Amino acid sequence: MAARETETYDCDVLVIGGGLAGTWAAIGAKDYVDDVMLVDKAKVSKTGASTFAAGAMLAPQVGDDLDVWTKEILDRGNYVGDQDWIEVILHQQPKIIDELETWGVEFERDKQGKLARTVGRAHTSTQILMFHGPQFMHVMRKQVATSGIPLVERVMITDLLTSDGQCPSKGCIVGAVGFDVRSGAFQVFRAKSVVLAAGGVWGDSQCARNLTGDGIAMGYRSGAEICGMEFAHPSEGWVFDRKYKVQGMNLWQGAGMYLVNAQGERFMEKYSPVLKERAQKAELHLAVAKECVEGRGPVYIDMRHFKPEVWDRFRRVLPNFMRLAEVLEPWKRRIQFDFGTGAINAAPAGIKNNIFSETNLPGLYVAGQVSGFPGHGTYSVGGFNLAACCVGGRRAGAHAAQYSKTRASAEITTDQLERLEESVYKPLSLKNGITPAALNIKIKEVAGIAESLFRSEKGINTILNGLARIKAVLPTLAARDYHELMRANELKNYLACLELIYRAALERTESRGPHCRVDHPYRDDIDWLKRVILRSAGDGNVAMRLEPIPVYRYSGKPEKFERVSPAVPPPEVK
Amino acid sequence: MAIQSVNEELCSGCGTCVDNCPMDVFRMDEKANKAFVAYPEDCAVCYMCEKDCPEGAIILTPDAAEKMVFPFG
Repeated sequence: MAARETETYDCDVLVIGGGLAGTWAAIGAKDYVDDVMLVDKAKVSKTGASTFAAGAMLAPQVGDDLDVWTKEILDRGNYVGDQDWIEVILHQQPKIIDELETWGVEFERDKQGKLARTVGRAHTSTQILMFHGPQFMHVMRKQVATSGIPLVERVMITDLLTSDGQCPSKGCIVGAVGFDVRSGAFQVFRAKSVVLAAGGVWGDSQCARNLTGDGIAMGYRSGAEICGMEFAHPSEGWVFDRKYKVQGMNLWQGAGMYLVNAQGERFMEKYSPVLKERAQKAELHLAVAKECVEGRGPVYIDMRHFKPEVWDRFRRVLPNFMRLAEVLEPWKRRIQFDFGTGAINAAPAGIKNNIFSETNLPGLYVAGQVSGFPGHGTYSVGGFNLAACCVGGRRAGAHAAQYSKTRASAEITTDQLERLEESVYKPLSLKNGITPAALNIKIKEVAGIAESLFRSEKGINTILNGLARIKAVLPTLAARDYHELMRANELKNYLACLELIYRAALERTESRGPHCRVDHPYRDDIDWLKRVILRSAGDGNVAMRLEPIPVYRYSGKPEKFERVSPAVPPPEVK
Repeated sequence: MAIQSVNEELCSGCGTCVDNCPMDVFRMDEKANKAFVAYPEDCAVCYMCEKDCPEGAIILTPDAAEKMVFPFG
C-alpha cells in the first residue's frame, strides 16, 4: 500500500464545524485576524442542526423588558441556566438580527412589513422570529465566502492537538487532525487557537444523523471539562406513524397543536395547565412517555384545526416538513406520535465555558451545541439555541482571534501526530470486525430503553454496563472505505458522549427538566442548584466534581429553596 | 425506504447531489457520468437532493432508512 498522503494547513484560528455557530465564529474571528479557516465533515449550508432548525429564533427587540425575559428563561430552564450568558445573548441578539436581515436572511413579516414575532415552545413574555428553513444557512455560507474565509469541506476532524502532546492535556490546544472522507488523505491543522463548533449529539434523529457529539468527545479526550450531560434529552427524533422522522415542533406548538392519548384526552392539560402543548420540551417528552407507559397510548398529534394560512406559512418556513405533510395530510387526520430514543438532543450539554467562550484549556473556545448553551438551563424556551449560536459563535470567534494574537506560533509534537493517525485509520485495517451500522443498532438497543427516560440507579447502571460491553467491542470496529471510516469514528464519539450522559445522570440524585429520577422524584433546590462537571482522568476513567450555581446573585431564582414535585411525575407502573 | 436511486435516464451527471448530501450517500460513476446511491443506509431523508436536482432524477420515499428503536408500546 502506498504511503498515505498528508495535507498540512497553518492558521491563526481554526473553526471546526460549519453550522450556524461555526459560520458566525469564523466571521467573528475574521474581524480581528486574517488567517481564519473553517472545516466541516460535510458541506456548509447543507449540514449541522441549524440547517434543519424549526425556523424559530429567539428575538428580543428594543423596548422589550429584558429583565422579564431573563427571569422567564431562568425559570423555564429550571434555574440551572447561567444568567450572565442569558444577558449577553439578549443584549447582543437585536444587532445580530439586523445584520442577518442585511445579509439576506428571509424572515416572516406582518401585514405592515415589520418582522413578525410569535410564541412557540414555552414562551410567555419571550418571543421568536420565524426564518425560512435552509435558506438561512445558504446566506451564512455566502457570508463566510464574502469574508474571504477558506472552507475545507468533507474533512472529518477526529482529535485536537495539544502543546504537550498528551490527551488529556495539561497544556494548550495547538491544532487538530482528521481525514478527508472521500480521498482519505490525513489532514493536519496547526492553529494558534481553535473554536469547536461541531456539537450536537443527535444520534439518529431527524435530518441530522451525522451529529454524533464529535466536538464534545474530542474536547473531552483532550482534557476539557464537560457539564450539563445529564440534561441531554434522551429522545429527540419525533416520529409520525412510527416510520417518518419529522422536524418543526417548535412552530407546531406555537400554532396550537393538540396531543391526545388513546382515550382522546388532551393530557398536557394535566401536566402543564397554563402552557399545555406549548410546554417545555422535556415536559412534552416525559408526558408522552408517561401516557404510554401507564397504558394510555398511543399518543396522537392533531393539527386538523390549523387554518390554511398556518399551512401556507409552514410551506415557507418548514419546507422539509411540508414535503412529508403533503404525503401524510395532517390537515385531514390525526397522526400517531412517538419519539425514538438512542437519539439525543444534547442542547444543554457540552464543554464548560465562560462568557468569553473560554474553556479550561487555553486556546480552546467553544460555540453552538458544543458549548452546551450555558444560559439554556435544562432547555428553556424555543429558539434560544439559535440565538446562542449567533451571539455565542461570534464571541467565540472574536475571543479566539484575540488569544491567537498573543501566540507566536503553534508547536505540534510528532509522536502525538503518529499516535492519532494510527488510531483514526485503525478500522480500515480490520477486515472481519463489526460494521458501524451493526454497532449503531447495538448502541440504540442499549441506550434506547425506557430507563433512559425514567431513570433510577439500577436502570442507569444497566445502561452503563451495556455501554461498557459495546466499548469493549470498539477495537474490532471495521470500515471498508473512508466513508465508513467516518461513520466508525463518529460512533466512537457518540458512545463516549452516551457514557458521559449516564455517568452524570447517576450522580444527580434529583429530577430536573428531562432528567427524571424515579428514585428521587423531586426537584431539589436545596442541594442540587449545582453543575456536575466531568473530565477525563486518563486511562478511560472519568473524574467528577460538583460546582454550585451562583443563584444568590441572579435576578431569577426559585420562590423557595425546597424540594418540589416535577411537572411530570414518574409513571406508575401497574 | 428513504433514498432509492438516481434515475439513470434523467441524470445529467452534474454532481449536485454528490456535492450537497449532508450524509455523503452519493458517488459519481465516472465512466457512465451518472450519480448513484453508494450508501443508502445513511440517508437522513432531508429531501435536499430531491429539491436541488435540476433534472428531477432523485427517487426517494419519506420513511426512515434505519431501524428505529422505541422505548415503549
